[in-house]
Amino acid sequence: MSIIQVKNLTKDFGRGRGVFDVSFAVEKGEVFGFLGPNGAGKTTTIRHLMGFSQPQAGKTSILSKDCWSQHHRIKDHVGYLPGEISLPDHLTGAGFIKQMAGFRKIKDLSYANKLTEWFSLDTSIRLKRMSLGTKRKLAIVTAFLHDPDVLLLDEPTGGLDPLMQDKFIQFVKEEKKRGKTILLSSHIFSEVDATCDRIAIIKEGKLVSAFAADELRHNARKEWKVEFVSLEELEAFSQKGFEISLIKKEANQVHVIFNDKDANRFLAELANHKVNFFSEIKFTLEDYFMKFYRKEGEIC
Amino acid sequence: MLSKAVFKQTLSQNWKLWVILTAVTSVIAVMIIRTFDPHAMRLAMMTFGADGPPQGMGGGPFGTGTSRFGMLTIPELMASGYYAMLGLLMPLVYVIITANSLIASQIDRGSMAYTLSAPITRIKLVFTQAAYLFAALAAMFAVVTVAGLATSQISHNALWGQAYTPDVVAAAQVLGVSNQDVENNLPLILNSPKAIVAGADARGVSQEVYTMYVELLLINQAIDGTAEIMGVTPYEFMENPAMADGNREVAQLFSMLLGVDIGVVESHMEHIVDDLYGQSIESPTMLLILMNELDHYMQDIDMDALMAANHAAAEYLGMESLELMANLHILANDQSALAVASEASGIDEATLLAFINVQLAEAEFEFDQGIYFNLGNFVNLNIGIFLLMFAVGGVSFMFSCIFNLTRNSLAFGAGIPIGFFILNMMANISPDFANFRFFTLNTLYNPANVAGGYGFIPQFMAMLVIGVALYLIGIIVFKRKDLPL
Repeated sequence: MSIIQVKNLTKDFGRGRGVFDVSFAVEKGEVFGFLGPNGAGKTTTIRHLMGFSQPQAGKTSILSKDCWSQHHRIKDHVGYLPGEISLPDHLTGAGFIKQMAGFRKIKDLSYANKLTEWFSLDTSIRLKRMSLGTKRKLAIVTAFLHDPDVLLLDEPTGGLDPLMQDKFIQFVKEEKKRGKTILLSSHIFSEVDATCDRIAIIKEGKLVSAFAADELRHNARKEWKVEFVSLEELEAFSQKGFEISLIKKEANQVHVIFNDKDANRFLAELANHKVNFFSEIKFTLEDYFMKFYRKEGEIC
Repeated sequence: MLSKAVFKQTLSQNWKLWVILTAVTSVIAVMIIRTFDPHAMRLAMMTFGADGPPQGMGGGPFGTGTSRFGMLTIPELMASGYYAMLGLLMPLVYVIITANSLIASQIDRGSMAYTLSAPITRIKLVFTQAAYLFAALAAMFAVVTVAGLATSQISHNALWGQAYTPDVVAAAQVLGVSNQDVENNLPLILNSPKAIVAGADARGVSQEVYTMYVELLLINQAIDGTAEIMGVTPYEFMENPAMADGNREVAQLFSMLLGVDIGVVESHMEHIVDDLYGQSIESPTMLLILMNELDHYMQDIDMDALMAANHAAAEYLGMESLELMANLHILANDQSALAVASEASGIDEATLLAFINVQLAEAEFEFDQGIYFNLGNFVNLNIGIFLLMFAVGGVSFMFSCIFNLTRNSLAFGAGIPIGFFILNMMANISPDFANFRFFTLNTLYNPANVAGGYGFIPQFMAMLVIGVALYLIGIIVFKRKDLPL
């Protein structure tokens, strides 16, 4: 049984906003990346998982419990990091941690202290005066306070400096090793790429693609850039039957696409021509993502 | 149903506003009670009460408009100003701000996401918030009530004041009986010249004034006692004194009060009604004679002539008219001033002096009355304002639950309660707007009625029911709606 299940979830806010017939499942110990720009429906989906919204159609469940009707019974096992950090003003960091521990009836704060240390968080400051990054760190600490089995992270690294982003990614990896099930929504490719086992891309409220991250990382079809010493050399090479995706005559460059098994044939042919250099053009998650969003001539 | 952790959080977030507004409200209440001065009140009523005392205070039965029911007691004073205006304003502000901050503002800001990410049901959360508002309001008015009671005691000795007035103590000493015996049998004083001298000395008034004062007390006891026997308020009895005709219990009371045989009273029962209005001349009992005497002075004296007397005397004494009114004993003790006043008004000196003595006696009586503090009425005033704030706060709370944005929550949750307040004020100010009272919850809380001890229980119940209904609607809406967290 999947830990997190979203089945045909539909919530129409009108004017094309909302989520429409979204389905996916996250298995135990999996990190699931939820990729899409602002307003695509990531947060709406997570709101349903948190029981903040009632589905118009479809169903969401965590640990086989319905997210709307049994929301409070799920929360013991779920850690939630909201996308927008809006903490109450009147407390200090330590006060807020204590308050959240109170809500969860946690008396032993040693794990919280460990987290505070890991993220080098100063809890003595009033929340009102905290920078966005500090608030984010505090939200992270309170989300993991009860060492939950399921994590719903909505754009978790917003406001963190690159060092902290790295630290957070490390932390998520550690959690994954400990068997946690994680849903990570983001529009930052590097963190999704670095942590996720599977990735779903959401566009205008609909899932447009779901794939295992490894497929992307270990794609056998690769694109290479080759620069020849002259245009003649370039034209001679282009007759040899390789798939050419792009020719830049002014720079004597071509982009060649071939499968890993054709590598030897490519090298042998290349040896017959005078070449300045050749390099692989890496196909990243970002390229893949852009492919979906550029299809209709949109700019994200 | 309640979450202790949520309650604690709410408390830590809201206590400051509570402390500030409770303090301000208490200070206002304390200041008003401190300024209470029976003599000043009397003066104010004489100055401004030309066409009768304010609504709800009732007119006096003796024609002057100031005796017996013309006097404001502390709760009545509070009812007229504080509980109709100032005392409502601060709690209103508190309820509006707090109701919004308990739900809508937390959704708007998003901070509720953290609360709801813990295993707390929505019902538990919203119910705890409602309970907080209820408890905060109750605590606020408990503090105000205690502050008010303490001030009444400290400034006026109103709660545990002297059980016996100094003259009763002095008279009892002269008569060689207990204070209680004197209080319960005032004719003892009237029948003993020595007791009258002692009592007048103790009060610092002349013997004539003191005698009249004791007579007034006696009438007062008779009216109160009769009203109690008949099961009506003193007001109701005064409106329809015929209700006591032939009542044996009333006869017994009169007999006891006056120290005469019950047969005598009973043989004159049918006259009591008339006598109270001063139309029957032949009354064998002392009480009835007294009443007639007092009323007689009032009815025969021309108010314009009295004013002329006052002005002339004031001028002669080098005082303001109002100042003289508040210090009539000066005129009573000054033969030449009295002569000037008599000449100016055409009223003979003896009648004028008698009139002044009646006024002074009434002033003594009213001084006792004003200090008299009806604990029950004062507490009821505060219970009433609490219930009103509970009901009005229900409006704010409901809209706080309905809307996700502070600005919408406040548009209705503040707009409607403030509208209620203004409509009620306008309805009270002018008869042209009297119909506005049907469109505001504040109508259910009529401080004058509560302070006077009239029917207010149905209104209190209505406020309670309306409040509970509004909170329930809010709770149900909150449980079912989508939260943009």
